[in-house]
Amino acid sequence: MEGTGVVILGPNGSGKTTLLRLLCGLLMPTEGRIRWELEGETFSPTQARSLVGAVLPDCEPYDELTATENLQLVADFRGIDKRRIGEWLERVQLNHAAHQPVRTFSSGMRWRLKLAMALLHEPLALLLDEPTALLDRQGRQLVDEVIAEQKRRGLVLVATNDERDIAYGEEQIILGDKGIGERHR
Amino acid sequence: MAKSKSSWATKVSAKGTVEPFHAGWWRQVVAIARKDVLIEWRTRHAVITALAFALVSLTVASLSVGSLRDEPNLSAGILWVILFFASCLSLSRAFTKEEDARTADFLRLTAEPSAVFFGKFLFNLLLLTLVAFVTVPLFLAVMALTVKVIRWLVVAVGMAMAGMAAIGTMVGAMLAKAQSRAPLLGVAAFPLFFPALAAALQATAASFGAAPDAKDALRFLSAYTGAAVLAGLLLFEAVWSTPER
Repeated sequence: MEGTGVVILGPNGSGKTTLLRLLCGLLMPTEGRIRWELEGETFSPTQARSLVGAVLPDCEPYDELTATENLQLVADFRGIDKRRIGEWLERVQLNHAAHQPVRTFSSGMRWRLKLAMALLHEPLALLLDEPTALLDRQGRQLVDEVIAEQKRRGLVLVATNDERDIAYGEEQIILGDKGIGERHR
Repeated sequence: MAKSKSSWATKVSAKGTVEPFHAGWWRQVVAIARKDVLIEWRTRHAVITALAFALVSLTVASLSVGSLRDEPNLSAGILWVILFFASCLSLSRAFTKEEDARTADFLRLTAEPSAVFFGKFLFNLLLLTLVAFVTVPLFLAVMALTVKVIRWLVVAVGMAMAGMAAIGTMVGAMLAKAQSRAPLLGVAAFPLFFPALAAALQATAASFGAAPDAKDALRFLSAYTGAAVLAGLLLFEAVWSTPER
């Protein structure tokens, strides 16, 4: 699935977010196993965390810290040069709020910061949960650009119930009442 | 793709982790400790709670028993009741605040578990040291106590606070998702901390003149604290990360 987009569709409660959390290793499956495969080598979700960036609900930045301080944390955890922080703040249009505490952010600003935190280490796979739900038109444009760039680098998984987001993926996985129902290419 | 297979695959080692005590690991430890210091500086929640408890307890003890000049064992006991519960109050927030603010999964996704433990341990140690630094001199003054061998008192308090920080960090992570987690930490940590507490009591009482020697107690306390920190480094991943099939 490298160099491609996969859209995970399903109604509320079908397990889209749960699936993304399983892929990140934040949840353990009750049956089966999850493995990431990269050109013949397989990794567990925990091993693959350095390859993955995720924007998920319940995975929030620190409210008491500024946007810059949150990104500095990511840089320290991921072993990244902190000079890239300024580039990413500009990219997600948060450079004007770089030194404001995150608790003052709107929901759209907070989502943009989470996107920057997920992309700072240039992951091979980007997992997005309902990426456009909180964004204005400018924000949707940003998501379009980010996804297009990510597809050139690797894989994008988008979980959504917004039909406008279907275009993000060449492949669709539809979740039903009993798990994965259909797959389309 | 922008990067070759070898650069991506080698980025993920056989264990997929950053090895403890390497440069990258220390960077993560310092980042976690610094983050907690910054947040605590801006909110002052844990330190105010602990100091308020300690000061109220000191006041009540002073009013009820007055001077403890001739009661070294009782003095040591009262001091350690105050320090233990003040410590539990500050330690209980270390991980509950991460779960409540929904930042715990961010840490799980990005930081090494052993680095999370050691960074949190260092922050908790700093917090408990501050609490002890304020509480102990006040206690000595309010209770009109004379310390016969001050280095025994300093080592006993320092080592015990370090042991409490290590045990509290582990237990705090285990209890972070429980419902009644604040009171639970004292209950859950006490059996683990009891041997160190007993040694700290003995050494503290000796420093007040109850015994001629505290070396055995201090040796035990130091070894126990070292073992607690090592156990935390080795076992923390099991309580922090999602187990894998």
